[in-house]
This record gives sequence, structure tokens and C-alpha cells, in this order.
Amino acid sequence: MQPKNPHQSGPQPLFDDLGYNPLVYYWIAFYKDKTVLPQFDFETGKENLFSDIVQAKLESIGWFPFTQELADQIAKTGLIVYARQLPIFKTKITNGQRLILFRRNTVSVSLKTGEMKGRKTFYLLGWQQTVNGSNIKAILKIDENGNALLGDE
Amino acid sequence: MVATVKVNEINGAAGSKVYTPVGAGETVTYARYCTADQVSPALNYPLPIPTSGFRYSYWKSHCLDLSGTFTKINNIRWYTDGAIGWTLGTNGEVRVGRRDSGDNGCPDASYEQATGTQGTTGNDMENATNGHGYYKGQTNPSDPAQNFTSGSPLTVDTSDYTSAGKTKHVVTQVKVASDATQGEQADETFTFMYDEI
Repeated sequence: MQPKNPHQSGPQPLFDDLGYNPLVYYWIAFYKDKTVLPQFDFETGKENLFSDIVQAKLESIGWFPFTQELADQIAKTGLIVYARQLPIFKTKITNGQRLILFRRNTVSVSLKTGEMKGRKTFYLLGWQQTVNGSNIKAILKIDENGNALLGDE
Repeated sequence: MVATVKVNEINGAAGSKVYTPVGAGETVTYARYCTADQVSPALNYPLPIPTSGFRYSYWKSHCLDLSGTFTKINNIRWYTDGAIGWTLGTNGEVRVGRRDSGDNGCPDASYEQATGTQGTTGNDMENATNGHGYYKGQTNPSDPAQNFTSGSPLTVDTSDYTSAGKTKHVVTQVKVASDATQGEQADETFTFMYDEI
């Protein structure tokens, strides 16, 4: 059964759990040589892994919402993502700063029946840097509606 | 692809344990705490209220089953909403296995099948003789599950997973006292949290 976009209004039917929460953001890495590496190839939808990012070449990086065209392309690879109108979040990475970029996922289950109760994803973006022996961090935590909170964890 | 992550309940003998995914579209739809080592007991093997002292559900083991394509999954934690509204009587509780130090999750290799007297009571997971082998020797073998919230979650597994596999297990059990209230309890949730790149 195809899942319904949970961001649509109205009652939501129970759907088979995909084993993941459909993404609403993907990352794009911008290199100092002005080339880019997107998480999903703009033409084919094929995914590049985080480990493919060459951090030494990195100038900036960010979380970007999917366009409908890219979402459709990615769907052909078997992955469901949602195109939504959301703000872009981007950070520069300067010398000495180490990239922080990951998704924090939750999956909730009924303690009483074992039924799946839902999944959430937060998109985290920031950097850490050692300054005078201390690890300094700045991390933006972004929810699926584009709300963001800046913190250090 | 992103990682596919499913919550599994684990049952059966350690040498032939069975992982069953929970959730809509999966086979586990009535994974109640009961007095049998059964993944989906429905309304069978209910936990009777004792005339005195305590009775226990068979303990349950849950883990995350990781598959799909990902670079790394780590920082696996677990929590409740902080207020489990079940009427389990004086000192009754939903409890979760704790270790004195390190990860609180039980390694897959240390899994132990839930035991007890079927239909009557499970064994107390803290019991020095027939409790859960990975927890019973600890200074503090369990804590109330509601102590762990999204702001202060239980550290389950700090390993880095770079390929498909099963994480450490969260082991939980219901302890019910003689002054508990019989009947259907409110719905409550537990939540696994993990980081993925």
C-alpha cells in the first residue's frame, strides 16, 4: 500500500510501515572548486552517501527541500521522499571546522500492543572546532516542518 | 536508499531465537506483556493480580533491525513519555534493564529467553537465581521505564553500525502488585532514537 503524505490535511489512513520516514530534506555539498555533490543526483535520483563527501574540499553544505521533479526521479529508484515548500539551511565550513551533518530518527511503538505509532526525523547541521583545547560546537536541529533550533548538542 | 530500521521483538531459546518486526503491516499486532514467551499473545496469558506480593510479566526484548544503504547508524537510545499511566499497584512498574556502567542494551549474544510459570507469572528479571543473566548481577538491575524521557533517554547502544545488523536489546518487564487495578490499561508508547548518516 502506498503511504499517504502525512503532511496532507484530514484523517490519515493506517499504512504499512516503510521501515523509514520519507525524507523531506537532502544535503548538497558545495566544494571550493565550485563543484557540488548532492545527496541525490539531480538527473538520475541515484543516492550519494555521506562518506562520498570530500570534507577537505568543502566550502559549505546544507539541507535542501526536494523539488517535485527530483522526488519523482528518486521514486523511480524505489525510495519515497516528499517535496514540500520548506526553508533552506546552509552553513559555511571554514578551516579547522569539522562538519556535523546527520539525521536523528525516532520510531515509536505501543507499549501495550506493539503497534507502530509513528516515525519522526530531525535534520542536524553544524560544525565543531577545537579552540584552546576545548571542543566548540554549533548545531542546528531542523524538524520536518522547517522549524530550527540552534544549540550545541 | 536510506537505512531501513524496524523494531523487532525477540523470542525463543537463545540458540534459535526468532526476530519478529512490529508495526502496521507486520505480524506483531498484539504484543502485550503477558505470562508466556509469545510475540503476539493477543488476550491470552494475561498477567494475574497477586493476592500478595508481586507478579511479573515475562520480560520482553526489543532491538532495531538495520538494513538498506547507509554510511553509519549510532547513538541508539530509548525513552517513554515520562508518565506511564498503568494502574500497577504500590511499587508496581514497567521496568527496563540497567547496567552499572556502559551501554544499557543487552548484546545480541547475551540474549536470554523470558522464563517463568506460564499463565501465572514471569521470573523477576532482577532475581539472583532466575533473573535475566545480563542484568541480575548489577547493583541496580532495572529502573522504572518512565524515568527515561526524550530529554533524558536510556543509552542503549553506542556502537557504530556501518552495515546491516541487529542492535543491542532493550529488556522490559511489567511488575504488578496486589492492589493493582484489573482490566484494560491505557495506551502508552516507547520510542527508539538513533542517528543516521
